[in-house]
Amino acid sequence: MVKRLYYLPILGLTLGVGIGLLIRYDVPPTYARYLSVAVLAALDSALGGVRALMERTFNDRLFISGFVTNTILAALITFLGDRLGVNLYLAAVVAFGVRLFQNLAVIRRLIVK
Amino acid sequence: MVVFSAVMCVLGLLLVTALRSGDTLLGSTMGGRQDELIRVVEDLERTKSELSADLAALRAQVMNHESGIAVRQGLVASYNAQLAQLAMNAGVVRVAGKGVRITLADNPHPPEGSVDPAGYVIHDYDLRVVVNALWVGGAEAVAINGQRLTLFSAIRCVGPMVLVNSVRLSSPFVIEAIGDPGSLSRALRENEDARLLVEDYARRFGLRVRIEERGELLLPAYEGRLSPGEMVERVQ
Repeated sequence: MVKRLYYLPILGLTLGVGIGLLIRYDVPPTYARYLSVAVLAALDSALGGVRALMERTFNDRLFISGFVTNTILAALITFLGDRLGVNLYLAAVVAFGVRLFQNLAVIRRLIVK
Repeated sequence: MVVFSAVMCVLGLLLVTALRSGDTLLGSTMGGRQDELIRVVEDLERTKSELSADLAALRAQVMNHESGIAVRQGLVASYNAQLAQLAMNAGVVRVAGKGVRITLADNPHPPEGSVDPAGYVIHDYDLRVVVNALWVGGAEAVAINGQRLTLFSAIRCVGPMVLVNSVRLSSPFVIEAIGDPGSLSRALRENEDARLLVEDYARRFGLRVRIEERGELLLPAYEGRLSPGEMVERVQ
């Protein structure tokens, strides 16, 4: 059953791209940092999801709670950084970036093996 | 799996949005802030140089206006000087200076039953003779009994009186003239009519004639009408 639904995430990605192209929302420059953090959070979650799927440890609740809390924390840190005049959002960027590469490495290993 | 797909959907949406507004975002992320500040500084510098140019132009304008004012003030001063001179020449202002004072008076005791009683009094033509001689001698201003002679002045006879500037005058007549005293006295001596009056007639008819050179004479202003009524200017 799981195997048969592999096309669903790709469909979702395509749907998201389609919606993005359709609504053509321009992000105000003030929220550029939030967008960057959000993109990274989504990318991290996606790669994490792929890895979990490949390791067959995917859990809906774990996945969605991780995505939501990570995003909220990243947004909070960014907001705090803006308030203090310090680029605190870089912390979220670095954390997500490191995790991205880690997940990618694991996925690569799983594929190669 | 549905949840994962939903997250993928969000990812796609975010990615597209981020890529689409990449240009505007570039301007405000890390390095963009610096770029923005650099742009602000460049804008301000451009504005400053523009304003400096404006300032220089305005300063030049101010200097221009100031020199214009100076020129106009110079013109006003020269016009005023001209006006003062013309007013003096026209006789509408009081003037002072050295000159001569000629006093002519009738014979106070004319002999009774004379052949020529008119010879013992001073006439309008006697005054004209003296005044004309004074003009010839370079008189700049002449007054008879305080009546300043102008372009509109006539000296004529009205009964026993002499009319000057519509004012009746009687003997003794005091003619004051401003000018070089020596030249005025000489003119009186050299003018035939004046010499006759002053020397011959005065002696013959007992007329009182006195000529004095004065260091300081004060001639009053003409008080009558001077503005032209009928005439208009014709410039060639």
